[in-house]
Amino acid sequence: MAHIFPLLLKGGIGYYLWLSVLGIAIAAGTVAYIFQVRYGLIITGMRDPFPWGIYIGNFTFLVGIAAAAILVMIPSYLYHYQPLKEVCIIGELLAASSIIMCLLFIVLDLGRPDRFWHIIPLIGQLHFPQSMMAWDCLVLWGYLLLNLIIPWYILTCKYQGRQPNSRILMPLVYLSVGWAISIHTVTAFIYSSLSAVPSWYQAVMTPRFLASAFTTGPAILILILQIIGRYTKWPVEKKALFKLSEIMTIALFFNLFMFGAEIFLESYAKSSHFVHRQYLLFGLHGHTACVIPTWISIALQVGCLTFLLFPGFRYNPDLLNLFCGGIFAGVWFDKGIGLIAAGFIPSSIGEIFEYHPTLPEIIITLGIWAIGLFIFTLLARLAILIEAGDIRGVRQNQSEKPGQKPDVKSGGKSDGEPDVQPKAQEALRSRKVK
Amino acid sequence: MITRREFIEKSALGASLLTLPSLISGCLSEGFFQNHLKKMSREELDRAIQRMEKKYRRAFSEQVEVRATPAQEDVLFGMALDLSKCIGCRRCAKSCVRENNQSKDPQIEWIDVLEMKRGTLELDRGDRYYQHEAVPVKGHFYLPIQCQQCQNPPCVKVCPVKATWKEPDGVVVIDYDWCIGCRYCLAACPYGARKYNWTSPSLAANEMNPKMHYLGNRPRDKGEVEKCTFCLQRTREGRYPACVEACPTGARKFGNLLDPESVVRQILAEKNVFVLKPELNTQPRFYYYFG
Amino acid sequence: MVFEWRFIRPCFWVIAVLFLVLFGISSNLFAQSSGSFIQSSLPFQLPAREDALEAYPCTGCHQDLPAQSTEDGATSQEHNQISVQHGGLWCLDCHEPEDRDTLRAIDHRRVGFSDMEQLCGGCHASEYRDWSKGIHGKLLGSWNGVRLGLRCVECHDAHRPEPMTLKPEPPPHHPG
Repeated sequence: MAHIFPLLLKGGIGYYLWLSVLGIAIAAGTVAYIFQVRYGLIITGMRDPFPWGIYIGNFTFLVGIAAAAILVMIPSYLYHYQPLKEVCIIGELLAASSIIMCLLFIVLDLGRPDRFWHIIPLIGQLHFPQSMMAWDCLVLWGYLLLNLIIPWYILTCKYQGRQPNSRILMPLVYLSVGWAISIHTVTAFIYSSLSAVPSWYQAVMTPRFLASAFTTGPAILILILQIIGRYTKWPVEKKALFKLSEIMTIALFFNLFMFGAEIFLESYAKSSHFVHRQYLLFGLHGHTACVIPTWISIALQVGCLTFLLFPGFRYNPDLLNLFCGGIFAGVWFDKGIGLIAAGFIPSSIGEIFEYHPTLPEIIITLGIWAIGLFIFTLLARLAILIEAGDIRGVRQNQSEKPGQKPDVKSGGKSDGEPDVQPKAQEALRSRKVK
Repeated sequence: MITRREFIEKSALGASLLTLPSLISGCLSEGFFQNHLKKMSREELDRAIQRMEKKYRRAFSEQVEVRATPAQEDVLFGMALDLSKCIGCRRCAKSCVRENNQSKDPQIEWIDVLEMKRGTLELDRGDRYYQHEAVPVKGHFYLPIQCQQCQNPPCVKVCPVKATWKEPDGVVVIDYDWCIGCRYCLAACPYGARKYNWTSPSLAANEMNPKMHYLGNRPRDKGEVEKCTFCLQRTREGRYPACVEACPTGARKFGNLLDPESVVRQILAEKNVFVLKPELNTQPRFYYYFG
Repeated sequence: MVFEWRFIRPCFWVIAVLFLVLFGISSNLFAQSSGSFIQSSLPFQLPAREDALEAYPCTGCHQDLPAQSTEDGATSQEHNQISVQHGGLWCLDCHEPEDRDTLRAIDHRRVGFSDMEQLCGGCHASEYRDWSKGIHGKLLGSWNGVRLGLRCVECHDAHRPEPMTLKPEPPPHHPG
């Protein structure tokens, strides 16, 4: 396998540039994080009345991205929608990378990362099943494993030039679909189970979390597939993009519908719980930091939905990028910062403390994103190479266990230069699940 | 507390790398593997306490004594506060800081005193930062809030590592050395009672209270959560909490809820007491009333 | 003659009783002189009030001085630091003119200074009721042992009761 790694780093100038930008961001984030460990979370903008910030906000958002992988898996494996099945693996790798980011965000949000072992089951003291955080840790690790095992199995089969055994694959797929819903449900429960925070303590929170996840997941996937389609040999069918665009539109509609239902409920009764939304939408006692971003977020989501309702826009590959970007930004604010700000302003004893992320906090956050993107880039690169048949191993006996590492045809050679298959397209087509 | 300038000054890569060895050595020390308090054997606990005393004696004073007095039998602590007597002088908050070794900078105070306009009990309308020449101010009343020692504590439920729990005498405590600092409990507490050490607390040796309890007032560290414990170190030995002793008007009353003769039980029998946010069913053992 | 236990028994009892009596008296004297807390029927203990009074017994002066019968007497030379602003009351509403070492309750009952709460309770009945249960007023001591209470006048000025005002301690720092 060792010969694969140099191959992953090979690419055009743009690829190098991209990787080095990510590398710099990771380095900067690491330095900033060392500072955080040294001085504590005081280097962030969080304080007692506002104890969670962009770390947890990004965590929430990325769990959504990870959960959205099932939007590719359901159509491809359960409905055998071929165009999406082709790119399914990208969705799974995106999910795996997102989960890695989620776990990193959780760890760096801890005040005592040195005590991380306390949360490990059996060694530490996991407060299971009472604590939703404990649930979340378990399901995230499980989902990460699933999303590494499935692509790994598919790619291994591909690498060995044989077809995945659906008796092994399908149970994993079903499990993964259920699991994806569970990770985002549990993440929503982290918030919605807190009766102390009226703006979170709502049943609609969980379905809305799923709806917003199913909006942003396809949005980011469309953007990624466009990039892959343009800059690699992998042919990404427009149909796949359009299917994702349809899913995104429907999910966005439900997201906004539930958002409207929330707003209506609180604003009509004008109960004391409305102060939290009031802060987001109109500001509270002169504190207005969130008002403009909130309206931009709403405008982006509503605007994108309006356009996407028209097939002309929905099925336009170029304009689609614009809408995806808009949805991504809109939902990121809504779900990342807006959600937390609405929870903590005013605080449980009525204090208004406006949180502003600090520079080190932002650098650390960007560093985590860079790590995630870096991992995703390499994983996607590997998948693309294997899918396109650029690297292949010897076709093994069918009796061999699927988990075993394949020998490489050219394994013994110096440098391990892989076999380049001339009939890449043909190889791509041959991948089918019975 | 570090300023932006300090941050920039110190942000050389070298400086940050210097912290790595200390991190590693910290990880390898015995304290790193210290078990959860409830999982410790008697010997382990003794060793842990010795280790703590050594640490605190080096940092503060030779008089430091750490105890782990367990809850007394048939005791359930409760507190009652007469809002018509509280004048908002903040003596309770300051005496609490002295008793319980809170950080001075950044400042941590376990008791928040809200100045409220007469006619409302909505905490949103309260002001923590009032400054007057003399209190009480006409037309206002004062609402001190601290840990309500809930019977059904949401903070305990959410903790992912069981670092916080309710003791048999009803006090919600934290094993500071087990807390991972995720601050889920801060979000879950409806009373804003939990406070977080955003950086290393500062506590002067001469301002330190050397009589300490494992689950009570021993100094906390960076990244750990803390809150009112009804002054465990005092109350488990029969004394009143510091805030009760400091209150100049006698608005605070403390006692054993299982003892019908206790003053808190008398208040429950005589007065129309209420608790904060009853709709959340946290069942606080901190009762307010207008006497 | 053989030593027998029964010869010594009466002696022993006499000595023992004498010892106990003497011990009791001395300890009582000691307790009085140090102003310690005396037991009462209340759920808390109270100090003897007379110990805290500077010029007690009042008859030290008032043996010879006649009781003032007019309200002008309130600002006499000796008591001019006192100005009574307590409802419409004046000195002799509460101080017994016939026996200056005692107080006069609302029902004209004579009440010792150590029982002064009974005088206050004549008007402030609900406060008195709360106080006698430990609800009103500050308690010190121990929640499960000896509780130490305070009398009305140890917090409230009987001559000029006013709600307590204090300069508050500095507010907490703003976060951030």
